This record gives sequence, C-alpha cells and structure tokens, in this order.
Amino acid sequence: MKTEMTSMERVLTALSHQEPDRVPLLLLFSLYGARELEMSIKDYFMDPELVVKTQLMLQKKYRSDCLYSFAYGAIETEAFGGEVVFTDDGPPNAGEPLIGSLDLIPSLNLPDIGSSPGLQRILAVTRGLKQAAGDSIPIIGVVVAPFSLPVMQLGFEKYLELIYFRPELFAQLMALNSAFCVKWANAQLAAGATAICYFNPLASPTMIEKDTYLKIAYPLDCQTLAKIKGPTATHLASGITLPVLDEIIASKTAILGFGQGDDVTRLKARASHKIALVGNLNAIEMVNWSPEKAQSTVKTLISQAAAGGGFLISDSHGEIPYQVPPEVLVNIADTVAEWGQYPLKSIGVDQDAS
Amino acid sequence: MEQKDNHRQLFLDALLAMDRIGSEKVLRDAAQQQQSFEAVEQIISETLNIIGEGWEIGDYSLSQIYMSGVICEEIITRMLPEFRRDRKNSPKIGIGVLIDHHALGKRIVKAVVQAEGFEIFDFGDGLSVEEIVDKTMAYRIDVLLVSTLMLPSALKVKEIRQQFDHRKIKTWLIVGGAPFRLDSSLWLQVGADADGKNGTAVIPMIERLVATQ
Repeated sequence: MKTEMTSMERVLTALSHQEPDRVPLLLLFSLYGARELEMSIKDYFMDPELVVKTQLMLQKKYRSDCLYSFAYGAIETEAFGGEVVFTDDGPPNAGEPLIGSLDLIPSLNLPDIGSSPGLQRILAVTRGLKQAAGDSIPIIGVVVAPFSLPVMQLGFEKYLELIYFRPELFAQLMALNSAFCVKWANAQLAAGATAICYFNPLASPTMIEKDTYLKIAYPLDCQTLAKIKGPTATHLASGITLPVLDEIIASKTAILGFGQGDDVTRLKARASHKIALVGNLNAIEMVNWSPEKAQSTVKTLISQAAAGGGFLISDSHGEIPYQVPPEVLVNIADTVAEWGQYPLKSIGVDQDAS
Repeated sequence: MEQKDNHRQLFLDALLAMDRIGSEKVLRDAAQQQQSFEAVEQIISETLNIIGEGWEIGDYSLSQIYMSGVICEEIITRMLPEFRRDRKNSPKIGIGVLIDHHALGKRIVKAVVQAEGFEIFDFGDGLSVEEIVDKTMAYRIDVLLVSTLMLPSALKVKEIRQQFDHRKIKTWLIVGGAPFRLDSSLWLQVGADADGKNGTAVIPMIERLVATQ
C-alpha cells in the first residue's frame, strides 16, 4: 500500500496518468449542502460563509477529494439579467428565457462580474475555500461553455432556430458568451479555484450532430479554452463523448467528464495517456441504490477505468442530487476506500445487484 | 415496396438535412403515386422511428429529432386538410410539462403524435400537479403524456397518480424526459402506466389503448 496522499496529490497524480494511493473520488456537492443543513436551498446559496463551512464538512464526511464552488448553472444567465427559479428540493433553474426574441441578441451586453451579486457570492465561496484548504484539496470552479449557455438564455427550441437558421446572430451570441466565459473562468481562478469545469453538454452528439458541432462551435471552444488561465475539465453532462473524444483531446483540456451512454472500456483505451476521465456514476439511479448496488457499480467502474491512473470517480452529470440518501454516499466512499487502493486488487465484476 | 423504401430514404435524407421543401416534395410525390395519405403517414412514421431509434444508440442527435418532428408537423398541417383524413376512434390525448419550463421534449412528442393523425391537447409547460389533473378531468383525457426535465419534477408524477386514484380517474399516464431516460425504472416508482422513451415509442402505446376500447 502506498503512503497516504493529500487530496491534491491524489488528484494531480491521477491527472498525470499515474497511479496515486487510491482512485480519487470527486463528489460534487452543490445544493446537497442545504439538505445536510435542513435549510432552504435559496437561503443556503445566499450565505457564502455557510457554503464554505458546509463544503469543508461534506468533503470530510464523505471523503471526497475536491471542493466545489458551483451553486447552479442559471447563476450565469442571472448575471445577464435573467430570472432564477428556486425550488424546495431541486437545482435552481433559469426562469423565462432572458432573450425573448432572437433579434434582441445584438443589444445584449457583457455582464460585469463585479456588479453581479450571484457571481460575487461564488467568488467569496472560492476565496473562503482557498483560505481554509490552501493547496491540500483541489477547488473546482464551473463555467458553462459559450455554445451551451444559450439553452438557458433562449430556451432550447429558440436556440435550435438560431443555430440552424440565423448564422449571423448565432456568431454574435457566441462571441459575447465566449468573452463572458473567459472572464468568469479567470475570475474564479484568480479567487483560488484550482481548475475550471467547462460544462458543454451541447458538444455531445447526443444533443447536436457531430458535423454541426465541429463546424460551428468546436473552433470557438478551442479558442475559449486557450484563454482560460488554468487547467480545465470539459464535461458533457451525461451526453455521450466517444464520437468527439479526439477533438476534445485536441482542444487541450486536461479532463473529460463522460456519461452513462459511453462504453467505458473503449473510452479508457482511447483516452489513455491523452486525457484523464471523470465519471460516470448515474446520479439519478443513485437515489435508489442499495448498499450492494453502490458497491457493485463502483467496483465495476474501477475495474474498467482505474488501471494506470488517469481516472477520477464522480457522477456523470456534475452534481449530487438532493434526493440521494447519505448512506449511498457513504457506501460509495467505503467502496472506493476498499477497492480503489493502488495497486488495484483483482475485481470480479458483480452481476447487477439492484 | 421498393418505391416506398426509396421514398423513405429520400425523406430521411431530406429531414436530416433539415430541408423543409425537399421533405414535403418527397411526401407529395408519394401521395400522388400511391393515391393515399396512409402512404404518407407510413413514411413519416417509419422515418421518425428510424431517427428516434438512431438517437437511442447515438447515431442521431436530439436536435435532429426535434427539427424532424417540427418539419413533419408543418407538412402534416399543410397536407391534412387536402386529404381530410382523421383517425377513427382517436382517444383524447393530453400533453404537458410538469413544473419545468423546457418544452422541447413535449414539442417533439406532440409533433410525432400529430404526424400520426391523432388529435392532441397541449396543456403547456410549468404546470402544477393540480393544474395538470384539473385539465385532464376537464378535457376528459384518455391518455396523458407528462414531460419532465428535472428529477424533483419527475418524482412529482407520484402526486398525479395519487390524485388520479383519489378522484377515480382512469386516464393512462405516460411519462417521459431526461430523469426517466437516466433511470429506466423510475416510471414504475412514480406510478406511471408506461415509459414514453421518445415520440415514436408513444404511438404503439396509444394504438394498444385504442384497440382495447
């Protein structure tokens, strides 16, 4: 057994495609903090000091190897002037699309991070986490990719109309979103984030056909990522990744978040020593996992993807749902502690124990 | 048969290219050659099925399904009055988005159901449990299609089932949306009658119901 590493050492070793002491476990807690404290999600996110304390508590309690400054995706459209709808037990969501008509795109302005209360709260959380954890635990910040943000800015239907039928306005919105994305990512890095998770579900062929993505958005992703002054993880938020793997590797991102639809063994073989993988526990099914199911799923994933490093266990969507019972998270952490130690034990893959 | 296969392939190509004019031309050619609107319906149905199944295995994207559905919806709307054909024994179908405001899935399913010649009542999006149950009763709906985006909304379907049971409503409850795709047993947990994986998967469910009426 190897000497125990700090979370930072563990993650960095895995990212350099070597085997750390054990497989890193990234439990991405956002609204789950409100559940732990039995308070409203809105009140929770309004209090950066409380979020910092809770992040540290959750990281320790569930043996996660990261801290997560993310609150909710709609915080970015909020900065553009959009509405956020809070619920009792789910992620705060974008309300009515902030761009009611495509013709309003030219009148949109680049948000000022300094005057956006939501973004300022995230930066306060990031600074607080950095102050508390120093360089011992990675702090993951989040941005929504320029190509994916319009789903919240416009609504999906109107966005498809923009993509396919209004190329000039599409280009204008992409330029604005890219400028915002770079500013927002770099502000989080300056506040202490170790790396930026670049959420880009629309890059997945599950959502947009590959040819279209490569033609109209991939070059912009490469340019945007190149301007972010720190390591990035491209996350396709549950969409399939294998068909665009080579392009994502070429975009110089360090990590790929993959989904349930991917063939893990093939993905691992093709990604080996080119890009680290993070994923792909099914956070929706996780709500109903028995201890046996949690153990068999984590063991299978380790057996498929962990050899040689370059792999971090997480969920496939970028957030632990509010409804996941704490016992399931403990079961996951226990399994990683037992079966994720390097050198890996031989794992006989269990049959489905659901 | 060869001619029909040819039309289907041409229609598939035109839809994937998002060629509205070309798509309609293929269907009008088919209708003229075969002198029936049933031939058109069959081509639409089979083609949307190919795209829907292709999405399940990663060959096609959600945007292609959506745009294909929208194009079919537009063509059907234009062609139906010319052929004046309605389905006999069409059940009353309602569709709505529970809690969430993302209506893409609803529009896809609605387009497919309409393309199959069924009448469908659109209850909108952002609906509460009470609103959707009240509308189901008011319109005497036989089949209710409920779309959701977020997990908490999907779990709220349980409350629709409870209301149906409480008010002795016999409406078939079919659910769809991202949470149900990610957890294949979730539809059972929330008490739905079926899992509408995509638009075309809903059609045989409705047809089975028609057959039993």
